[in-house]
Amino acid sequence: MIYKRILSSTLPLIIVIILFLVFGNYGIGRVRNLRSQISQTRQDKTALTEKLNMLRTISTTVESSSQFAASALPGENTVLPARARIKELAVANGVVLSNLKSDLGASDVSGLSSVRLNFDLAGTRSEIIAFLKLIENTAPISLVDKITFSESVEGSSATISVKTFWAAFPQTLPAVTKSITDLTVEEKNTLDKISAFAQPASTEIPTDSEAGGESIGRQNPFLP
Amino acid sequence: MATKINLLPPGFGVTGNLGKILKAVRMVGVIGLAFFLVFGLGISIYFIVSTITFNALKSETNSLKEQVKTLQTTEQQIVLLKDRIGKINMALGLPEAIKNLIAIEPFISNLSSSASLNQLEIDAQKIDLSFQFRSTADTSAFIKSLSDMKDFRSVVLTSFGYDSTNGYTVGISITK
Repeated sequence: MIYKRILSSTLPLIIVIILFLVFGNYGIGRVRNLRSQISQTRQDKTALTEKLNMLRTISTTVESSSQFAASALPGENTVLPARARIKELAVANGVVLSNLKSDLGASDVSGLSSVRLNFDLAGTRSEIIAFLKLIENTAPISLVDKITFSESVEGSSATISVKTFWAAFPQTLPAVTKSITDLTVEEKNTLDKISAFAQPASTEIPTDSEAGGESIGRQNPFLP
Repeated sequence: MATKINLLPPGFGVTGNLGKILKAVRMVGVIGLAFFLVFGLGISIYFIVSTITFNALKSETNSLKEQVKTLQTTEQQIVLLKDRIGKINMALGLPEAIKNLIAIEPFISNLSSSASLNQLEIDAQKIDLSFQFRSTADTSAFIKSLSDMKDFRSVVLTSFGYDSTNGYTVGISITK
């Protein structure tokens, strides 16, 4: 009988402790999980609001800027446009271009591909120097790698080695909730620089229908 | 006067301290149960309010996502632009010969009319030049202009020759 009394007195306390342990733990876990989801959604909302404002602000300028950037650093091998550009510049500067050759292999460093073009120039010293300065201010980006210049009574000649660059376009967009930032000062300076580049005769990239080709699957969204 | 009587058989009653303890334990159990009910009610209300808040936020976020998707073309262009600019900076940071050409250009432009530039070899690291001078005065002026150059880290005289037909031949190697 005494045990029954002890049991009847302690049982409610034991039940309360069990209820606290089981349901308390479960309830707090659910609430904690919900709070974390709310916190994450709040962050997403802030990021999305900022992103939306940013996209609305920059939408007016970004199209032309991305075209300049894609023209300065195209997504495909730039040997042919670079060769055409060198020929155009030679004619424009009154220098005689000969032995224009390109290396067969392209090198790739951190996603940046380059190929070397070698050629000879003949003309006056000032014409050749003017030509070389122009090369670095034209799209697609080309860097003068080596210059061998010689002068004689007949005139000046130079053997030039130029590197021209391209890089594959990005294939994916970041997650929709990932915020995007405006261009930094350094990026804006670079954009100003490439915007001043002389553009090739035709920077328009024809669409499949304009080119007469068939469109299969989704178009590359990064085509400018 | 009320009289206390015990109807339990002897040995079945709980007396003394144990009785007080059991009574206290029962009381704690009841209070605990009350606390549990209050706690359960509180947590349920909090859960419901949080769920409503979460659903409202989720709905706003979904709406924002849809709005962002309508500007996907702009997003693609900014992603492309940032990617291009990053790689353009990488390319523009590579060593190149044109900087050395720009640095040496004023120097070779100011050569006297009797001096001539035979050969000029420029790469990203150094500039190799070869000149022809008719007179010692031109040679001296050239050597003086070398010492006046502040833009270059080192200037090394690589060759110096003379013949009676062509005059002085001077070869130098310059590092910027």
